[in-house]
Amino acid sequence: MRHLLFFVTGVCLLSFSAFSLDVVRDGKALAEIIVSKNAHEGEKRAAEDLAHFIFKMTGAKLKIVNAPTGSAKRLFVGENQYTRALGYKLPPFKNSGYDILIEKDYAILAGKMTTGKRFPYSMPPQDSIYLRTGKRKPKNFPSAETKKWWDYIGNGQYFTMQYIDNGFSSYIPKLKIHYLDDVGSWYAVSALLEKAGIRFYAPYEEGTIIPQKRNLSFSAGRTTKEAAFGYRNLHSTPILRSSLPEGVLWIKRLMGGTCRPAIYQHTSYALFANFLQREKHPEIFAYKSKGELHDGYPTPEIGYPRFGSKAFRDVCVLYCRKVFDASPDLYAVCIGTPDSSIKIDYRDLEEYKKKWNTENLAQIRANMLWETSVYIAKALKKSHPGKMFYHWKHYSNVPPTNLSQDDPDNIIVPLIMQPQSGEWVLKNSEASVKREHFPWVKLNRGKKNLYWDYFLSTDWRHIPPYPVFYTKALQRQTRFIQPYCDGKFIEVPTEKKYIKKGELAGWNVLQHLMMYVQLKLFWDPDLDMNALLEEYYRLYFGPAAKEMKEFHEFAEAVWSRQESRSVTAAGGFLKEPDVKKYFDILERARKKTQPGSVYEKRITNITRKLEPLKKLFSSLKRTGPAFRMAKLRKPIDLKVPLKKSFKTMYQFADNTTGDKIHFNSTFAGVGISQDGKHLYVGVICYENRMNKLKASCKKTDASEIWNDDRLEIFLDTPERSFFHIVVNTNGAVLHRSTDQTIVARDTLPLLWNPEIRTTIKKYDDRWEALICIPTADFGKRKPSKQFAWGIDIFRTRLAGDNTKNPAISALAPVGPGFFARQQRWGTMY
Amino acid sequence: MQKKTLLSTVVLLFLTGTVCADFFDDFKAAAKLHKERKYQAAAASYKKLAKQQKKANLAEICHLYAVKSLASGRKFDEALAASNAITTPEVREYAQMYTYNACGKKRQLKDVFKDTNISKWPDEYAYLGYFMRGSATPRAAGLKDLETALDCCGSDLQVKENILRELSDRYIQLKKNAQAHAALDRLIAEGVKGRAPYQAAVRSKAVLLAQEKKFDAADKMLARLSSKEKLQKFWFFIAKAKIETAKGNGSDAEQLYDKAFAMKGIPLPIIRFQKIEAGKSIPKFKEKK
Repeated sequence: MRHLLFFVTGVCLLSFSAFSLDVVRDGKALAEIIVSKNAHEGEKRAAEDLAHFIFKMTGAKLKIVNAPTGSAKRLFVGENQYTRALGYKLPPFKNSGYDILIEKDYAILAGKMTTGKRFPYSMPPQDSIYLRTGKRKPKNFPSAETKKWWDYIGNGQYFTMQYIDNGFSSYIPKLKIHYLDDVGSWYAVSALLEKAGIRFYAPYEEGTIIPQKRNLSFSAGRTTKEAAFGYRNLHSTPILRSSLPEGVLWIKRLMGGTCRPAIYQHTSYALFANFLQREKHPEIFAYKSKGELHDGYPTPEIGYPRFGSKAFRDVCVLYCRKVFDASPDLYAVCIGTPDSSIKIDYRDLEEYKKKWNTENLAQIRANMLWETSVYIAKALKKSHPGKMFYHWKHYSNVPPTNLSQDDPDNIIVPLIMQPQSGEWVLKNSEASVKREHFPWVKLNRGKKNLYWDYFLSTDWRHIPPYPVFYTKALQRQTRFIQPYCDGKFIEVPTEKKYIKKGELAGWNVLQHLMMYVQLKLFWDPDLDMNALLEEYYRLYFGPAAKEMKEFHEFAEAVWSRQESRSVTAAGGFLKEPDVKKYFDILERARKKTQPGSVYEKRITNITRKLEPLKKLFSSLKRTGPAFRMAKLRKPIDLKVPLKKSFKTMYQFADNTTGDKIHFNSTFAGVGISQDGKHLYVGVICYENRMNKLKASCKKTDASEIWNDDRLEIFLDTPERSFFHIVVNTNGAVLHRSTDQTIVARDTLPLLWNPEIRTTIKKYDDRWEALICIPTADFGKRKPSKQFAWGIDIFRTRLAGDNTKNPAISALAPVGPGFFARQQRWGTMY
Repeated sequence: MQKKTLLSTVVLLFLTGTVCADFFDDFKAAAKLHKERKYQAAAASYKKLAKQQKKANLAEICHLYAVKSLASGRKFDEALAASNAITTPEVREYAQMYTYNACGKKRQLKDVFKDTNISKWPDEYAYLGYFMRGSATPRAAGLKDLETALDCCGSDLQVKENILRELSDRYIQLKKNAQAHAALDRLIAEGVKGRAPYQAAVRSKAVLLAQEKKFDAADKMLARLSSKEKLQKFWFFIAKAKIETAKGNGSDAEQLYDKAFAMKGIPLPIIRFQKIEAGKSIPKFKEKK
C-alpha cells in the first residue's frame, strides 16, 4: 500500500513537472524572452516588464532576444514568425484581448494590437501660446512645423492643435508608445505576472506586490480573455506630461487602452480660439449683439464659435477629414464644444425659435448642436465611410427634438456620467441614468457609446481629502452600463507636487484602489469583488490587513450614507466622530507593522493625506459676529438709497487689525426676498478717490477682475459649502462654488453660474452695489437662528496708489491671508 | 474638461495658515490689552508680533500700534523711540505727531511739524495730521489746516464732527460769525443727533444767534435739544445763561449760572473758564507746596 502511495505521488509530481513550464529554478533562469526586432515598442516594453519582474521575484535574469537562441524554455512576447512556425494563431477579438498559451517548453503571450502612428503634424508650444493669447510672439513665428500644419489644413484656416493629442493619444517619449495604445501582448504579460502573484496596486515598486520565490513555473494551458469594454482611458494631465513614465506604465500593466481610438475632447478650441482665426474668419464666431462677440472660456476675449452657421460647420468638416487622413487608425472624432454653457448667435436665435417652435433655450441649444453633428456626420459618411462622429452632448440636458430618419448612422452620442461614479452609492442612481441617459442612448441605434466620468470630485484641492471608496457601487454601475457602453474617459486627479518632485511614490494614496478596481472591472464586470479586496488588504498592508480592511469598509460605509456629499456644519455624509474613528483605526493598523516597513509607509501616507480632516469640523464652526438678514416684503427700489432699503447696515472693519474703518468706510446690509428665492446684498463703499477707481474688467468670470476695486461675497449654508462671488465697480461678476454637489453638476468651480444681477451706482464720494443672488443652489433650508448661513464680504480697495498694498476691509475680519477661513466668517439669519 | 483655474489666488479651505491665523489672534490679544489700558503690555505685544512678521506692511502696522499704545499711556519718549521702527517716512511722521498729540504736547507739536508736508501722507492719515496740527495751532493760524482736514476727512464722520466743532469755536473766537454759522449749520445737518458735537453745535448756534439779537431763532435752536440732551444740564444751563445775558435778563442768567456752577462732578478748569467767560471772579490758584 505504501509503495502504491509513493508511486501515485511520484506520478503526480512527474505529471506536475511534465505539465508546467519551468522558467526559473533555484534562482537560475531556464528560459529566454523572445520579442521580434520589428515588434511594436509596446511589446518590447512588455518584454522588459517580464524580465524585470521575474528578476525582482527570483533574482534570475532572463535574456531578451530577437530570435530563439536554443534555450530549452522560451517566452514569446507578441506574435512573430516563430510563433507562427509553432502553429500559433491569435484568436479573434471584438474588443481588446489577450491570449496566453503555455506549453511544456514555451509560452506565447500575445494579444490584439491596436496602436497608433505618430501624428505627422505638430505645433511648438510657444506658437500655440502666442496664437491663443496674442502675447510673447516667438522669434520665428510661424515655425516650420506650424506652417506645415497650416499648409496641410489649407483653405485659409489657421487651426491650432489643441486637444488633438497626437491623434491616437498622447505620445510618451520614454516608452515610445501612445498612452492609449492597445498592446494586447503587454496585457498577456501582465496577466502572466499576476498568475505568478504580482499585483500592480499602485505605481512604483512601493505600490507593487512582488512575491519572492526561488522557482517559477506556470501550469500548461491556455487563457484567452477579452475586455468587456473597448475604451479604458484614465486621463490625468500631470501624469501624461510627466517626464517620468511610471504612471503610464502602471496604467498599461492594468490593461488601460483602447481598441477603438477616438479624439474625444474640446476640439472646437483648435478651430477658433486664436487671434488669427478671429481676424481672418469672423464668420465662424457667435455674437451676442451686433459687433459684440459672445464671451469665451477660459478667457472672454477668445470668443465662442457659431455652431449654427454653415461657415463653422464646414470648418468642422474640414478638421475632421484632415484629422482622419492624418491618423487613419482613428475610429472616431468629435467637435467638442468649449467649456461653459452653449451660446447662440443672436442672428440665429429668432430663426431657431420659429423653426423648432420653442422659446426654451436649452432645447434650442440641443437642437442646434444636433443639427451641426448631423451636417458633419453626413459629410464624413461620404468622405470617410466606416468612421464615427461623436456628438458632443455635454451641457445639453435635453435630447434634441429635430431628429429624423435621415440622420446618418455614423453618429454616436457619448454621455457624461451623472451622477458621477462616486455618487452611485446613492439610491436612485440607476433610475436617474435611465431617465436622463436612455433617451440619448436610443440615438446610437445599437452602437455603444462612451462615458465621460470623473474621479475628481473626491480629490479636488479645495475639497477635504475624504477617504472615498465605492467598490460595490462601481461594480453595480459597470454591470448596468455594459449593455450600451463601450468604456469611459475618466478624469483622475494627481497630486502635482509629486510630479514636480519627480517622484510618484505616494501618488494618489487614496485613489489608487478605485483606479485599480475600475481597470479590473473594465475586463471583468463580474469579478469577485470581495476576493479582490481581501487579497488587496492582505498583500498591500501585510500584518495590518485586518485593521485596513476595517478602515476601508468603514470608509465605504460612511461614503455610502444616503446624505449630501456636501459636508457642512449642519449635515452631510461625514460626521465629526467619523474623523476620529478613521485616525484611530489607522493608528491601530500602523502599530501592527514594523517601523520602516513598506506596510508602515503605506499606512503613514494615508494618515498624512487625511490630516486636514482633523480641522474640518472646527473650521465649520463659525466664530464671527452675527448679522440679521432683512426680510424684504417687496423688491428693492433702485431709486431709493441703499441706506433706506436695508434697515440695518453693518460697518466693515480692517481685515488685518479688526478695527472699524471710518475713512473710506464700507457698510453692508443683507436681505432675503419674501419667497426666499433671492438674496440681496447692498454695499456702500465710501471712496475719496472716485476718479481713481480701478475697473478694467467688464466681462463675466474674467481674471482681470482681480486687478480691480472689488467686493467679494462668501456664503455657505447648512446644505452647501461654499459660494464665492466677486463684483467690481463696472458690475462685472466672477462666481464660483467649491461645493462638491455643485462642482459635480457643473464640472468646475468656476462654471457655477447662478445668473447674478448687479446694479452699481456711483456718486462723488462713494459707490454703491446691489447684488441679487438666486438662492436655488443654496439648499432647501432658508436661514434661521438654528441653521444660520455663513457670510463674509470683503472689500479690496485699490483706488489711488494702493495696488501694492491694497486696503482690505471685511464684514467679519479673518486676518491677513486667505479669505475662505469659514470659522471666522459671520453668521447670518 | 481641463482642471484649469483662472484664479490667481488659491483658495485652500483647509489651509490653517498658521502664521496668518496666529497674527490675527495675537493682534486681537494685544488690542485687548490696550482696551484694558494695559498700555505697556500692549506695546510689548505689538512689538513682539512685529518681529515675527516677514511681510513689511504687517510689521509696520504692529509698530504703529505699539507707538499708539505707548502714547496712550503718556510714555512720550518711549513712543517716539518706538516710532523709529516704522520704515515708511510718512507713516513714521504720523506716528510721531500722534504721540505729541496724545501726550498733550500741542505747543511742541505745532513747532516740530510746522513745515511737515502732510499732503504726502497716505490719505487715511493725512486728514488726521491736518486736524492735529490745526488744533495745536491757535487762532487764525490753524484755520487753514482745519479747513484742509475738513476737505479730506471723507467718510470719517466722527472726526468730521470734531473738526467742525473746532472750526466753529475758532470762528466764534475770531468773531467770524458767518463762517461760524456755516460750520455750525453743517455740523447740525451732518452730525449724529445725540452725540456731543451735535449738541454742542446746537448750543453754540443758539448762543451766537442770541448774541446777534435773534432771540426767537436762538430759543428755537435750543429747543431742538431733546429732553434727554437737556439732561446734560451743565452745558444747557451755561448756554441758556448766555442767551438770557444776551437778552438782557441778567437775573435769570445769574440763576442759571449758579445752578451750573453748583453742579457736582464738573472739572474745575471748565468751571473756571466758564466763570471767566461769564465775567465772574475766580479764586486764585493755590500753589502746591
